[in-house]
Amino acid sequence: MFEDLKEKFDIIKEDIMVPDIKRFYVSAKNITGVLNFLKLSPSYFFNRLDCIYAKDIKTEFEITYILHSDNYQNKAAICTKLEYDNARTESVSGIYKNANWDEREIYDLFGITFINHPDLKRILLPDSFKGHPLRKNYKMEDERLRWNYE
Amino acid sequence: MNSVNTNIMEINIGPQHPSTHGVLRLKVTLEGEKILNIEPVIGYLHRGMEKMAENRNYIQYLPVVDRIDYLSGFFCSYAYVNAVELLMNIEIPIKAKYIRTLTMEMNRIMSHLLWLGCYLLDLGATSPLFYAFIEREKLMDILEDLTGARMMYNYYTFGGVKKDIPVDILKRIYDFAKHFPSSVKEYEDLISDNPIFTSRTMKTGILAKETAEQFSITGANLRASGAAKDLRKDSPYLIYNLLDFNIPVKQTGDSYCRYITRINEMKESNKIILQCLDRLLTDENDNEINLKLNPLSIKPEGEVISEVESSRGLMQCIISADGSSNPLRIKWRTPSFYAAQLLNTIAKNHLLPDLMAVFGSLDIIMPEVDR
Repeated sequence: MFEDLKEKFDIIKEDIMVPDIKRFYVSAKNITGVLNFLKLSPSYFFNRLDCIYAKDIKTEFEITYILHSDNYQNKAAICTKLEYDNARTESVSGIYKNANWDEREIYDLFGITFINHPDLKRILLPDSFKGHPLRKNYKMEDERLRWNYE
Repeated sequence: MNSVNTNIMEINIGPQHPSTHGVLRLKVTLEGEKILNIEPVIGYLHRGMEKMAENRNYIQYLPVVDRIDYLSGFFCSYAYVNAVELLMNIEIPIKAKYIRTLTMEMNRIMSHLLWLGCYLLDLGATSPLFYAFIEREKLMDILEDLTGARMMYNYYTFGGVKKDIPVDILKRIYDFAKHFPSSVKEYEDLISDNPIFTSRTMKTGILAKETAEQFSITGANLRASGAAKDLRKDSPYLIYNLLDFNIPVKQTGDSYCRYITRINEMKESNKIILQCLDRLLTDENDNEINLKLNPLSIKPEGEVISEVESSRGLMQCIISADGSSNPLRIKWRTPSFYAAQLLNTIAKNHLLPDLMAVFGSLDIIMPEVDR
């Protein structure tokens, strides 16, 4: 399994998430191509995108897409790294429709921009909110949170 | 006089609307009474669960996770506890597995009963709520005596459950489970053939299987659309591979099918409860329920996906751990988040009075959407 994925695309790194889910690191410019291939190719048929989540590892961001195939009852994770200062990547909401809100959530909490997203705006936090709270360098400086520190 | 006003109108529903089951706001575009577009606005119940995790150690975060879905807290607890156990490579005692399965299925019945009562209340029928709450109250009393709380149980812990189930509580659960099928029959007699109910739910809010897959819909919503997908069968966790139960499936995918699917799921859960009780009541010498881990020793490392079939669908807890006492990042994948996104697709072109009939049938709960 995953042989022709490795032939077709440039896999930077490969590891395993607990319990036994293969994770492939691809470059950000390839992400739509990889997901499209995994969704449509008959040897994978990853018909469902379980979720997308981002992670702040201080020097860069990691975005992971978790895919599920009903046909073969298996999962895979596709991971891509983005630079910290200019974090932007292509939206996949054209491939999996539920990515729409997932990407809005990541934009909201991490400040990562998704190019060609149909409606990119804050989703969980109010529009007037300043900053992106799940970044590690976010400081809780809000007046209303003062009780935390005094 | 005979000209009809066809101006397009935008109205706002919620966030404090009683039928939005919490705080969902809908911006609805109407042409007369016909819905042209719905834009759900969420986030009114956002508590920053994922940020909270980063500032607490693993055992401190444990009481918080019940609040992610307060109607079925055991599922969230299980997803989190199981994630840490997978990372640390712990196998829990067999009795703890049975107790977890038993309590989770009780929780599924409670959650579905509340859904049933509230959904019928949305449609204007008051009495089913009271019928449903009679049975739900029994379960809540049992769980209160067992765990000390009626909704936020904080009962599971890393390596098992916090305390054993006494025999008298097992007998009370047994009495409940023996009586419950007759209660379900009562609901069906009361609701299923009611002409007002059927005319409001049949052929409304039709969700095709393909649409459901595109939007990552799971749980009873997907099974009502003809896909027999249930994590308990597809990749069994705990002791589900030893149990005998069916997956209720319906084909049409309208609101009525979702209602039938949930009613049948309650019957199946009841079967599972009886099977778990069989084992727990007969084997009284097995008292190991907990591995008694030192909380300070919980310092896992790695990245894990832990899944559970919650009462609303597939719930995932993804933990990224770096070997310190605090998690680096916790992501919650909750089924309602995706069901709320679906609303514009399936309620479009319905009449405004049907909006809540469709919305209610999806069993969306807001603390899960907003986290």
